[in-house]
Amino acid sequence: MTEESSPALEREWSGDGCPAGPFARRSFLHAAAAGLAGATAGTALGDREAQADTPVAVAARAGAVPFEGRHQAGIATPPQQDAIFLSCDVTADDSDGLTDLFRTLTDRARFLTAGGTPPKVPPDSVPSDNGIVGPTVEPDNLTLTLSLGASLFDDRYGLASRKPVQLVTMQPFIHDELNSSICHGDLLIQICADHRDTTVHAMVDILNSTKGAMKLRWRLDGLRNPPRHDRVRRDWFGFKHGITNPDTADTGRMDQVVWTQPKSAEPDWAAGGTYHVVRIVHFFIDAWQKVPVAQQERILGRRKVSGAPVYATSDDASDRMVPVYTNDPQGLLTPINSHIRLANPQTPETAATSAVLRRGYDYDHGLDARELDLGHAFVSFQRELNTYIAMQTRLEAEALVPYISPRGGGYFFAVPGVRDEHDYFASGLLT
Amino acid sequence: MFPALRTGARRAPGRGRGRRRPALAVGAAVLLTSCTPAASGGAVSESGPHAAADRAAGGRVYVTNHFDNTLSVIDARSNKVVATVDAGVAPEGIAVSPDGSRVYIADNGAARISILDARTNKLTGTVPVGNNPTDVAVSPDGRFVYVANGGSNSVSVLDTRTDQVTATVPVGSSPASVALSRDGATAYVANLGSGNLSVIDTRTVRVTRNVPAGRTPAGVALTPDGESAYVADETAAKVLAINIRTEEMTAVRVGGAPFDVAVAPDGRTAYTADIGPGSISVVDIGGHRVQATVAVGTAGTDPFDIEVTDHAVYVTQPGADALAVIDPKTRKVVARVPVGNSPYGVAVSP
Repeated sequence: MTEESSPALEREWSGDGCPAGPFARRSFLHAAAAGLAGATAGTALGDREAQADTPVAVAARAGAVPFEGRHQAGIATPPQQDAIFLSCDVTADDSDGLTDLFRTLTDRARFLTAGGTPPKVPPDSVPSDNGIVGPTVEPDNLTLTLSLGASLFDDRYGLASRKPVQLVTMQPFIHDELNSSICHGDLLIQICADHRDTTVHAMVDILNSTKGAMKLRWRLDGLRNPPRHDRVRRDWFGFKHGITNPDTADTGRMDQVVWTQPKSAEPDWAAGGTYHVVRIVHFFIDAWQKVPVAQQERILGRRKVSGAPVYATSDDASDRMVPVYTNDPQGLLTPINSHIRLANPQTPETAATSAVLRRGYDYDHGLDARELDLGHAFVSFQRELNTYIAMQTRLEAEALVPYISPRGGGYFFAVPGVRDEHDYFASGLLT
Repeated sequence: MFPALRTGARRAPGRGRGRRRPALAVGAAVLLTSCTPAASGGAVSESGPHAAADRAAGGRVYVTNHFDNTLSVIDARSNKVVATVDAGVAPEGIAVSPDGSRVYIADNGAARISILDARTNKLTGTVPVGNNPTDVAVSPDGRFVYVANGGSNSVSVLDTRTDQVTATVPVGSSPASVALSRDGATAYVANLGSGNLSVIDTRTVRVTRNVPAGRTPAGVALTPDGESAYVADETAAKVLAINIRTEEMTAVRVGGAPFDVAVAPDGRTAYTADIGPGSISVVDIGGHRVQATVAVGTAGTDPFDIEVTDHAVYVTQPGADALAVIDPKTRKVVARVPVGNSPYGVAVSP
């Protein structure tokens, strides 16, 4: 039906190596084409609409998120569909080598996020670009966000005295089953874009450009399940996820919850940065399927269909309603150990440790010990790491514990934004 | 199994409603007939007589601020905050003595009642009660204070001469609200967890019966004639009119999840504070219908508690850190008083 988009979709489909029959493929293509047409025209499918798909789809990759600014992109930026989290350990010899690494990362990020044509090289030379996205790199709303782990502030580069005051190596919470091969790291590079090929292109580019100065420690791939008609996307448990979040357009609120402020307890160079938490949380999807919906709702504290708080029983209730527990001290409506109530109990003593900016992704990593490896890449940004730690400590008591298994991730500090074309990542830390 | 469960869960309440509806309609008809004079008067109630009401002007409005542990004292004439007082831990419900001299605050986070001297705006004492006291009511003669202990399934009775608890009455599960009859003979306790009202004989200080009151009664108020209790049924999105004597119930659907209910002094109108849409439903008591809906804030949560005088409807808005003042005649928000962090309870001195 849509000649132009079919080959691309075919490639994506066969790329899995999944033995899909012609029937399955056909229905997939139908669905995909209908989705595209619906998004562009919102009218009945016809040849004219179908032909219009390709230019529109291409145009959508032209969106660029400014790289420079007071804060890094990829934090307040509305989450893109695709993400790669790369944790790396720095292998540079000395602080000059570290500075070179950060300059290189800055240069690559600046180019990749703006897009353009890589330098031409003779066909018998090593290519200047991996070519994954073709001869011209389109920005595709790519963001690259650099964060530093506590281990970078050891004695290797003389940074110990400049460490953000709350930055520590993630310690396991009581129900964590941390696998050290997917924990911590000197650096976290968060790569987000609208499409998978863009994030992979950027990852390969960055690793290729920084050979010798850092090495890969672990990697986590995430995707955002797209929202349906009801606004908020759902996680693999079928619940709307990430409903309550600070308004990123409210700069006062962002300063309060997310951004490190100047003249605070933090070192001066850190102003405009933020603590960056990543947690790799496996979902026991089989066990969850056996839980009746009413109990699932008690475990999470929200209605499954609507995403609304439990006081709203209609399926079309708004998920924007704020949960209320103040007249329910025994948790008869919203159980005390439900996820949302422990995350934010709405009490005076927990008010200061109940708001973070979440920017999570879902992950689907095939099989792990013959079990589906579906889970959630919990990602949050907060002005104080201790806010997250307090919140997660409360959640040690949550009823969701048997259905999830936190296995990796770490604590990092997202450095301030790169101010202008002369600036580079963490310049204030390194000079 | 999974889809079947979900369908079943969704369908069950619908069927229940469907079956109950005819019965409710009959109940409404009965009450309508018995209330005909009031109902016919309802049409003119907006311009009706408010002769008895002048004394309310110039009083004080008290608001507890749940998240910053303070009490805002507001001048009812100017709608200005005249004092902010420390008021325990996570203060919730609040009541004023009939002579206006003392204010009783449910100190939810500390399991006690705080007592404020209204003349000096100073706390004069605290009295230990049950866990999570959430609402308070004072008897019409000012002699006793009744405290709904949401965490202890009990009501504490406090003697105001000695400021001691003289009785602790076991009630239903998770009591959220308490109201007294005008003659002081009966206290009604809305049990959020057990879906009923505990009726307390204040002379014997015993529960004499439990009256079914919907799914999750979060607030209760009495009509001035003492014949009906109005109940905010939070998760059913209804306000229930319960005939005290016959226990007959009439339900009126409101805009969201009613968190509190108040009855106007003239007995013609009930108001519910509907969380979710952030609005007030104005319920015609004679006609058993929502007459008007007043938007008080941005949709989300607001409002929490509501109090009505002849002159004003006061509504706390925790999301806006404000007290909304509504003119009951025009049904417009005439003032929005900035108070503390997450205002909860509201009470008006005579």
